[in-house]
Amino acid sequence: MELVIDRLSKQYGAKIAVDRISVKLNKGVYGLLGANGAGKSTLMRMICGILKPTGGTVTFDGIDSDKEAFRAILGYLPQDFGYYPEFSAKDFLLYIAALKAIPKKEAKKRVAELLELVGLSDVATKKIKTFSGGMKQRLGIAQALLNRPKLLVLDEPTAGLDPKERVRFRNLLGSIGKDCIVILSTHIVSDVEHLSDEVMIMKDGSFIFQGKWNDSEMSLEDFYLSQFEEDEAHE
Amino acid sequence: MLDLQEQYDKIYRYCYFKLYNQELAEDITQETFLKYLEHYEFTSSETTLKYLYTIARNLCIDEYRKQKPVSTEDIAEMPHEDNIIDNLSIKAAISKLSEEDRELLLLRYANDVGIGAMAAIYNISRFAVRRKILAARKRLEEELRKEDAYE
Amino acid sequence: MNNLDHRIKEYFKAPESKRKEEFINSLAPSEISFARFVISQAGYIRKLTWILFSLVIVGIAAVPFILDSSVIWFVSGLMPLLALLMVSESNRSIRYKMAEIESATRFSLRSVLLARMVLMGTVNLVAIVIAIPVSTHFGDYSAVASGLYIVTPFLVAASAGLYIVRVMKGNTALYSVAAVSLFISLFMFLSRDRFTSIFIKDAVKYWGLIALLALVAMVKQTAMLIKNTEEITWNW
Repeated sequence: MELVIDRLSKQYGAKIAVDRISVKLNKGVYGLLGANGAGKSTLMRMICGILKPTGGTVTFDGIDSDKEAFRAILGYLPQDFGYYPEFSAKDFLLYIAALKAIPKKEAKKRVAELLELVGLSDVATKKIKTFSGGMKQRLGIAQALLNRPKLLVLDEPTAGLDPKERVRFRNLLGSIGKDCIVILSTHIVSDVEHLSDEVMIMKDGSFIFQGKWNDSEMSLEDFYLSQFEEDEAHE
Repeated sequence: MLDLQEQYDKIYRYCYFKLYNQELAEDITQETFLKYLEHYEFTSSETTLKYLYTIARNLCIDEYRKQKPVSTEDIAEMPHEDNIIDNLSIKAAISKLSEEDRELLLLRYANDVGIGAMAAIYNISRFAVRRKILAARKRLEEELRKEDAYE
Repeated sequence: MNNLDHRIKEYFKAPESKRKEEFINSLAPSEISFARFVISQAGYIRKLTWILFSLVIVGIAAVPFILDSSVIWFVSGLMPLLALLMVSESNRSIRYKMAEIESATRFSLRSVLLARMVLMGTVNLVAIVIAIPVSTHFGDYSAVASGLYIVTPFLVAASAGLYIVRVMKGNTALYSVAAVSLFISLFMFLSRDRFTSIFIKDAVKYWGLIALLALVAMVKQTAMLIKNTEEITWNW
């Protein structure tokens, strides 16, 4: 199980959002850390195959990211998402399940399982418009897991989660990360420390660090902040 | 699909009684099926059984190389579904048998593998299979007599 | 002997496997076909759309009995409304910010749009097929002329609408489409007398040409909408 990102780039006119990123990922949880605007979402969208790169490739066990077979093993939670107005939590998941080509019977079972997993079973038939931010986020995580993805890409998954929900999420990630590749992006350093095995720090479109962070010399937090100070010093 | 469920159980059982580790046995079972399905269709034919057991056996052997071998005492101590009290003596008896004998008995009596399929798996004649099974049974009976003699 | 067989079998009982169900599910080629998917999408088309559509059909069928003449202009004036419904349905993914999640699924946003267009297109075709004989029967024009006068406003409104939702962003896009549709509807309603005077052979030719161009435009816009899902989602 390997995700290979090879010289991936995205350029909008003169602006380079993602600059020739290359990395190979295997099973585990990877934290993508970077400020807002560092290019994280752009990178994640390209990894998911929903945004066409201007250069480079993304392959999962040899399957290219623009293929249907790639999307079949993919689970994605975007930074911001909506819902069709009259949908209940269950409706929403069943709708996405159909898009993930899951047959109805299996979908019903899977939806029930996932609602249980994210703690939304008792509000399954309630309309999403009544949900809190944290509940909606949990629903988003649930939809990403519908097709038992081998590659799970989560863009700012902890945003809007209260402490209890964060703990639940951490436990969930722990069990999922054993059997698939999880990439989660965040701008919160403690999230990366608690949730991921390895970290990739992104700045101005490229990785300034990737691997296991060794705390002995400097804490991740300090290093990350120092990067910003550098920016301020330059201005 | 029912066949697949049943066959999963059987291969799992086969692997468990080689590795004596539930998780590992299940991992190897799944790997066996994945490897098989990479190139072949799942059918109820002897060939399918031959390939499945061969793949499973080879994967188990690879695992052996990674771990230290399981001793006779370990086998006798292994967590077990103990339903009948007189299983104690059979436990002891079977643990004294050779690996090959245990495998034969498992395939024949626990997994209900047909003589034809077993001949395919071992690449010997049906006659040789029957002979081997009888011999293993005889050795088991001998061990049982010894066990019972202690009581 | 039997007893021994049984005891051996009992001995070889392994602890329960834990991940069998999950594994076997992952193997089974359990997928729905594209056709099934399109049908399932039918259930997600808004009730409102079905209601309005039904009202249009009822309108087409009832109008001959309400107005004594000029049925066709009324019917052709309703066609842009059907086009609006179609464009509106196809636009929902973007309006409700579902596009990104939908894009990352196996069938993808592309298929959702395609499914919706196919469903709405078929349904509209039914409406047109009903509308033409009704108008011809109660009107003074040939079937060809009637057909053109009904289909053209639909095609023009649809192609314009699809183009607009592709290039304009946000909710204003749909309001613009509504405005365009309304304009075309009114144009058809109000110019009825003027058009009767231009009802010579040549007029049919011109209408035919416009209809053909609009058809090509509509097909092209639909194709571009489906192909360039990226374009419509994140160039905000």
